Amino acid sequence: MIIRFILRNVYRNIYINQFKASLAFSSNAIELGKMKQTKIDRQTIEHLERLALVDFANQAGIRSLEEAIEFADQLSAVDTEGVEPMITVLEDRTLYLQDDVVTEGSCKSEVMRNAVKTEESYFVSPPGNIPLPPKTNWYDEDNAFGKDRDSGKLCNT
Amino acid sequence: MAIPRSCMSIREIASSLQNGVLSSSELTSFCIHQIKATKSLNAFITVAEKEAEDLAIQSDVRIKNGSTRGLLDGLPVAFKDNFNTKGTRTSCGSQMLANYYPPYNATVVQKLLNEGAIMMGKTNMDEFAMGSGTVDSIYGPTKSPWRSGLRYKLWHRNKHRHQASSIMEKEQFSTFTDKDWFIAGGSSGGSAVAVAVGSCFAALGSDTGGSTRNPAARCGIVGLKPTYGLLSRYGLIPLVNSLDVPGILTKTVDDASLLLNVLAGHDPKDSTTVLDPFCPVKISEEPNISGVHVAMPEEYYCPGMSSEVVETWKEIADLLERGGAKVTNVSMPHTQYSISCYSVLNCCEVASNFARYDGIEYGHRATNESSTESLYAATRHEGFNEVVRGRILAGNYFLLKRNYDKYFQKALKVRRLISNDFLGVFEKGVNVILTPVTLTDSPPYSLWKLKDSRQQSSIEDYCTQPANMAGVPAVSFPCKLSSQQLPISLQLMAPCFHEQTLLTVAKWIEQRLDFPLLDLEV
Repeated sequence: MIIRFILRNVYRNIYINQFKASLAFSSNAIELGKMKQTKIDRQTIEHLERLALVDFANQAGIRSLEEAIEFADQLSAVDTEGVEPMITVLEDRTLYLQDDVVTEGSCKSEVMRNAVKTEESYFVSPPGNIPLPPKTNWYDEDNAFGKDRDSGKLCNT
Repeated sequence: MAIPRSCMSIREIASSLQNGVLSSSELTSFCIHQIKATKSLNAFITVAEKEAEDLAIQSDVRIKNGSTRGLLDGLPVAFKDNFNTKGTRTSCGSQMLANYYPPYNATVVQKLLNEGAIMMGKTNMDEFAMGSGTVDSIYGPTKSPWRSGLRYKLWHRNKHRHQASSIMEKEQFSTFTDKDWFIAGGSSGGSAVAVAVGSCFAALGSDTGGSTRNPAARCGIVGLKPTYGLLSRYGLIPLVNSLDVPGILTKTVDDASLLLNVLAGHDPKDSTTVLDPFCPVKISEEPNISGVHVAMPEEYYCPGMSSEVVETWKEIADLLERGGAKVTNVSMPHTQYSISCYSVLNCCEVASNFARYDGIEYGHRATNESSTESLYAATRHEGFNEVVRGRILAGNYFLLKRNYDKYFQKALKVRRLISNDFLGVFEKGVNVILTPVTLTDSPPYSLWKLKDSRQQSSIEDYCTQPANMAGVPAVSFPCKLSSQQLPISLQLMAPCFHEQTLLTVAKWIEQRLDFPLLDLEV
């Protein structure tokens, strides 16, 4: 008897919440529709490209970013007045610090072994302080700095 | 009837090895055979055949001399390809690390090797653990063994026999269509498939948003996500430092507890592991759940959840109640925001974490040497797929000064609210929370690929993500087969560091359901 009562309650609650949830989802959608979809301008994407260096400043990258922003905009529906940010679940503990004692090392060859280009005991890098060249065909899909993944062709060099 | 070898538990294997009924070398050979026979499922990126055979010989010597290292001595295991393994390629499923051979072992890898476990290889995963289907790897997708075209029987541990053949038997291993296959789940799909088919008897995955529990649910095995800070992340190539946890994939709850006991504990090399002494989990052979308070949060029901999953959820709640547990409804109002919160926190931490991939010290290096920035951009374009690049770009956007409060700080506050939902429920005296894991049984790949990665995550991670936000332990366990003969699983969550309660209840349910294990005819 008790089981049937509980089951009925559970089932009823699930049914009600199915309705509530679908309302919430559709009202979220309405909210999003009302919320202006953020459009990314050229200046922003170029700035982001300098920071991210993933060579994604093209149509596909902008689309992907705008969708990510739209998805994240759902958070604005949550009331977070007076709520402290939570950076880690271990916030009420003290971070463990090691003693300042050398316990391992002398592994230069192991550390360097995985680098593609080395010279004597140096990692090798091209000259710095040279800004990324501006892209020629701006919104093109295939204006990448690197090799195209599928064809192996070098682009925009 | 003799237990099929691939369906043996870890204790049964240890006992057989001790008694000399089975040798480590035979067991390792068996697993290598399984790996080769299930190659079509593409569970492994790297198979360490020679190394495994050598380790097995050493294990045999130890067992013969009576100096066995413990229950895991001679046990074949596998590691997801984002755990650093010394001398064995660790690629994270990505071009960026396809040429990376680590100079060290991750702590959890080293702990298992110290116990005498034998590494069979590195398993396939979504690129850098970004995904929930194990379809986004440069090594190709991993396929679920269920209805894959491979022939299998279903073994019931309790009844100690195979499932009687029926009209459904032909259905059981018929594929959806000729070229199609069912999703193995992700991002630790390779590890889950390897355990499910008997290529190894335990595997490690990682869990940031459900990446261990999701493939475990899809493959019909146990997937445990321990409390954040319990297991060391040293050597686990990070995705989101504040959410990542090494995950344990095994066939039974008991097996998962054995691995947990070996792996848990403070690691001086990982300052985010807690200093508390770890009390090993001991689950009785006859677990008792009378008086255990089980909660069902209403918000875990969401649009798109199949009626079969909801039915299973109700059935197990009913089962627990008949067994003496107290089952109540609770509300966790911020559940639905976990995914969008995750989308921000994930992208932001990724933007920071992935700055290390520049091609200079290790990993892929492009040939564009005109400047540092051009080299980095080219390397990262070639090394990362669009999912990874998209997340790095988005993370940098959310972290811009003008967006910092609106997105990153906001997400951190929502994280606290989600975590508080859990605290509020546990404060009421709830011992475990029972929820679904996935919204439906496995979709076929033909349906899966119609949605993009973000849309998939919002559906796939819905029930699993909140546990990562709060850091609580969670376990996914298989319950029954769907009308499509695919596994349906449920999830239990408990307060932080309460793995004992979590696994006790899970084992109780497991014993009563007797979900079948795959016995492949290969």
